Amino acid sequence: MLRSIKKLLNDQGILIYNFQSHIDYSRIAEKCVQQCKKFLPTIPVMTVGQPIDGADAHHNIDLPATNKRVFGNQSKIWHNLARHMSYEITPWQRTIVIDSDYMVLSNQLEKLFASDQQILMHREWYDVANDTIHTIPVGKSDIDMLWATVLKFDKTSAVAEFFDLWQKVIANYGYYAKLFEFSSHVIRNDFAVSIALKQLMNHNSIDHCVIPWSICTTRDHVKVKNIDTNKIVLEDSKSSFTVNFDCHVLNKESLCDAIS
Amino acid sequence: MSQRRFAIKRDLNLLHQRCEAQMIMVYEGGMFRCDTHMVAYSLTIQSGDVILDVNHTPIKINDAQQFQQKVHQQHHMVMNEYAEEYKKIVE
Repeated sequence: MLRSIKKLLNDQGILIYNFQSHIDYSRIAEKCVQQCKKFLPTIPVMTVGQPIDGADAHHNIDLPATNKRVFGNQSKIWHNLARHMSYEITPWQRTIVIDSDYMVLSNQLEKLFASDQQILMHREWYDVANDTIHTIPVGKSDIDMLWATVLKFDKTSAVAEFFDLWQKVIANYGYYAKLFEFSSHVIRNDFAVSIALKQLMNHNSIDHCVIPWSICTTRDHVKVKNIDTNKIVLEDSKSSFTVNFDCHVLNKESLCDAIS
Repeated sequence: MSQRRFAIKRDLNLLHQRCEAQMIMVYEGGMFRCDTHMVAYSLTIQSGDVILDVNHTPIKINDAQQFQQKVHQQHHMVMNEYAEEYKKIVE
């Protein structure tokens, strides 16, 4: 009985992490929350880290362990190592964790909430500027990388184990970097979730955990010229063009500039 | 290729990609791609049949007629949107 009452109270929601770095991530996260509210109005949004106006709830945590990432051609501090705590943090039975630079421009994520798969992530990525679809291997292994940018999960014992494995992979990242021959300089959640899921499935197929459409992503050299509620105008060396579906923007500096 | 032709081609590619994603429909917790194959296949399904979704998960179709309707609706909705957007791009 309690279970069904919880369902009626909208037992699903979106988690967005927000930690400041050299980029004003709060501005990007605020835009991300606005987009979620526009296209997924019935889905509650919780921010984790620093609070954001417009979110329905907030969970405060300390700054996670520091990581480094190359932005442009400079290595900068990057706080991306808290997402593996999502299982403990989420108040919902069904959750989607999205990166704050994932701009929601449709109600497509509703399909993930409606799906009964316990874990779902993107594997194929669509290069918006070049009209190509790729998969990325984890180092030199035969494991395909899954994108941690959009992660749907249910609260079940199997998923709890997945998050446990994810934490262990991050804790032993150097070992996996040597094993699969990738750089240990930057800790990538994408690699960590891919290895953790493969371990959860005893190195069998993870096809059933793959979101059946590609994640639309812009490469670093593609700049955001303009963004409003319904579309993003992008620009590369060839032309400017408009995207009006969910899009993962890698050039965070230009995204931040376009929002202001 | 002229700038305009390049822009049209790019916009059409983006439209195609968006419509591919929109073709996915969720029914009884399973995800189905409502392409021409599924439109035809849905006509052969009887109530109580079990079919595989895109992630190879078996899904029982309790009401075949309702399932067919949903598949057709989704397919036609995406196709209509595709046609409208296509017109705007090439005009």
